[in-house]
Amino acid sequence: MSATESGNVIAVESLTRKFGRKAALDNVSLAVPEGCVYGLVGGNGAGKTTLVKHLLGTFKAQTGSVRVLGEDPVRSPVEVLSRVGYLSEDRDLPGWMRVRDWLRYSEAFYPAWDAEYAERLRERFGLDPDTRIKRLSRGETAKAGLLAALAFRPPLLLLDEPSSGLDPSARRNILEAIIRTVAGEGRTVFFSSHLLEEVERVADRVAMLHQGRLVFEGTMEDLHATHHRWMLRFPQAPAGHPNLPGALHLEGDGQDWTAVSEGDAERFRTEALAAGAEITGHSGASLEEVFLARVGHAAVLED
Amino acid sequence: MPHRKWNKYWALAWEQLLVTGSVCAAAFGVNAAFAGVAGLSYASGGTSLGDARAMAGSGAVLLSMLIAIIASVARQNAAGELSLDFDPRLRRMPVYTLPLVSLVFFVRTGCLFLFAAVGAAQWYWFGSDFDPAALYFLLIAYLVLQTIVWTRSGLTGIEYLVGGSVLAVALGTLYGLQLPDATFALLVLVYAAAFLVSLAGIALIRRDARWPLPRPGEIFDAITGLNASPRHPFRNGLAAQVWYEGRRAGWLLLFTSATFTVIGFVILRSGDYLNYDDRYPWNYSRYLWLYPWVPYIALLLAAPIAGAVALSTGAGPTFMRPLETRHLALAKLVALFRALAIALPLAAVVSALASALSDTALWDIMMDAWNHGEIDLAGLLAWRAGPMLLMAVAAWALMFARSLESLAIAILSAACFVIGLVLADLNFMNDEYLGNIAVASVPMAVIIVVTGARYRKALRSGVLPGRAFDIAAAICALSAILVLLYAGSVQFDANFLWVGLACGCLLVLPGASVSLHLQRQRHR
Repeated sequence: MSATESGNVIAVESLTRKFGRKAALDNVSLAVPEGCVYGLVGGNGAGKTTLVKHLLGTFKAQTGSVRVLGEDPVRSPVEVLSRVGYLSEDRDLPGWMRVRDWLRYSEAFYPAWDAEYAERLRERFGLDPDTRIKRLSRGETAKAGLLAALAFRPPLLLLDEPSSGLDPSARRNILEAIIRTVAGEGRTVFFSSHLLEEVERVADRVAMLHQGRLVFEGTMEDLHATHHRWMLRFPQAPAGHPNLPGALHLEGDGQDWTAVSEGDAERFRTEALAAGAEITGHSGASLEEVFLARVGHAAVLED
Repeated sequence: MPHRKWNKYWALAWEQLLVTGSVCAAAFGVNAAFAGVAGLSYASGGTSLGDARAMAGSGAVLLSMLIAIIASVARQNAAGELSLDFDPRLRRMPVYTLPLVSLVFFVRTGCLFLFAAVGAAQWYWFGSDFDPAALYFLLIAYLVLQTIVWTRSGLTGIEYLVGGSVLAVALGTLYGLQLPDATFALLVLVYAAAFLVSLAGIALIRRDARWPLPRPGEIFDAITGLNASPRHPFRNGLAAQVWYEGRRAGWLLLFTSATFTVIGFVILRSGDYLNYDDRYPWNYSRYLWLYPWVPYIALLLAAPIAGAVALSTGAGPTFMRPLETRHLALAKLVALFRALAIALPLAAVVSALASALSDTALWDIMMDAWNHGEIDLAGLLAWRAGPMLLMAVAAWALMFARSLESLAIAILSAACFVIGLVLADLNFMNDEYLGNIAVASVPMAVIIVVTGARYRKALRSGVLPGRAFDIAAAICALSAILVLLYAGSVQFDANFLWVGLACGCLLVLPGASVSLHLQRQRHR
């Protein structure tokens, strides 16, 4: 694949997008390195799909810039789209087509289409070539879309909520396996999801969007190294929330509290002990815990 | 006692005679029962129906014929299930195809024709007004159905449509020629065609072969792209997109205009029936002249619907494919143009048929002129081509009503048509050609300026390549030259020029406006 000069397959800088007065994206900047599996998480209305549409060129940046594979997707849609395998969230495949027609139609647009690979994937996905797409289940439709996105071995695979409609087995055995295979071949995967466990298992890097703003962006190693989960017990129930400046999030009642901290663990330990708390447990925070800590429960409950 | 061995052809004929004869005998039983009950009821004065004898004479015959036809076409296979094809057992018989098909075909049709003759006699005997056309139509329907089920493994749904259209055209032609018995002539034609098609079809099926030429359905699909699955890899993305747009929106124009045509005819016919004995103040029969216009009006109603679907980009992976916006626009234009090129001649044929069947005064005048040699074939075609051309341009413009700039120019063009034609006619009577030119110049100037501005914008935005402008200019110039040539060949009338230029603008307008429309949709 042709990497960009900076080594970033996707480069978004200061991207802002407003619909009326509402900012769907607010000064978002991120970079996706080549060969990376990049997870984008966020609640409903966080701006995930808006960001993906900017990457595809269907939205024009109001401010800031978007580069995909070194090109502006609005100025050069053909150059970008011919190298991006895309699966949309709403699976808007033409229902009147048969699976065979769908593959033949898609093949025409991509010179690098690998017909044998497509056939292998079709068999693996269990898709009947003579079935019309409108007769497929939601999960099967997702597989048909994924098949067309994969069969030309694109340098960048862009998946918008790929798990939607797939059962847990299909998610693990097909989707995650494919993502790992693609990444293993040195290609890049960018996917949005609200299934945090899945993102945590698969992604190398993660970005969190909340109300159009990027609240975290970094590698999973960074996330685990800098975020900690603490179990705290106070001798007496504090009046209100305990005063722990290093805590991103505190949850509890009475004497027992759970905290998620960011940054130096030793500093937070010192803070907690100084506040009179006994540390009854300490571990690295999971992606879900970090997400809850940064975004709050409201966004998660919406999902 | 030793019996004499039967000849295989005689055995086959006997079997077919027995099968079809039984069917006809059973149908005759139904006929006799129905006619007998009705006749007895009439004789005893026990019926409240107005004319029981007439019902017995015609209704029983038609009903029993229908039963016999359905039973003859459908049959049970060895498993006792309903089957619709040429019996596989017969196909495997050690008999040459020609005698095999001839025997089965002529025995079956002979039985049914004999039954029809009996029905006709009964019709007479019951004293009804005998209309042989009803029986002929039933027999034609039988022949068509029989041919389809015997050869259906080599036919597609599209071919039924083509065959039906050919029959409709034949019928219209025969009626148009005012033969003394056009339906009988059609029956003879269909009879011969059904035998030949059945013979050829079964011969190929027996060899496990297919039609030596591409199936008509394939040819139709290749031309229209309306219902075809891609049989070969597409040459490129543009070819795939043309196929996609044809499948998505191309068929819609045909389907919708056909539906509207049927609805229009039903409304008009209902009006005629309601007006049967002048019970209503309105008089639908005065509007018989509307019949020929129904297909065209239906086409005009269908055009914006098909255009809106084609230009809509809400569903499907339209913008997710690596295809230039101008190619996307081109694919949509090609699909719509192809659909129009198919729908328009069909509408013209139906219009001509409706014109003939509705016995309009204009049709009578034309036929009188034809019979007296006052008008030749070219004149007759020109008479039909005028409205066709007008409707083509109007339908083409209406397809792009979804695109606002197209709609604005279409309205201006329509105004130009009206001004150019109506005022020109008025001025012609007053010999004021200069007034005509002055009035028509204003909207034409607006159209040309607006169209030019759209193209300039399209060129500057990079949506259209530079050569598109040259092509557009060439089309405009060609339109103007053709119009001038035509105007020069007849008495010059300035309105031809304006109408021609309006046509040219309308033809090239979508090239720019659709690209701009899609560009806006693609990068919002």
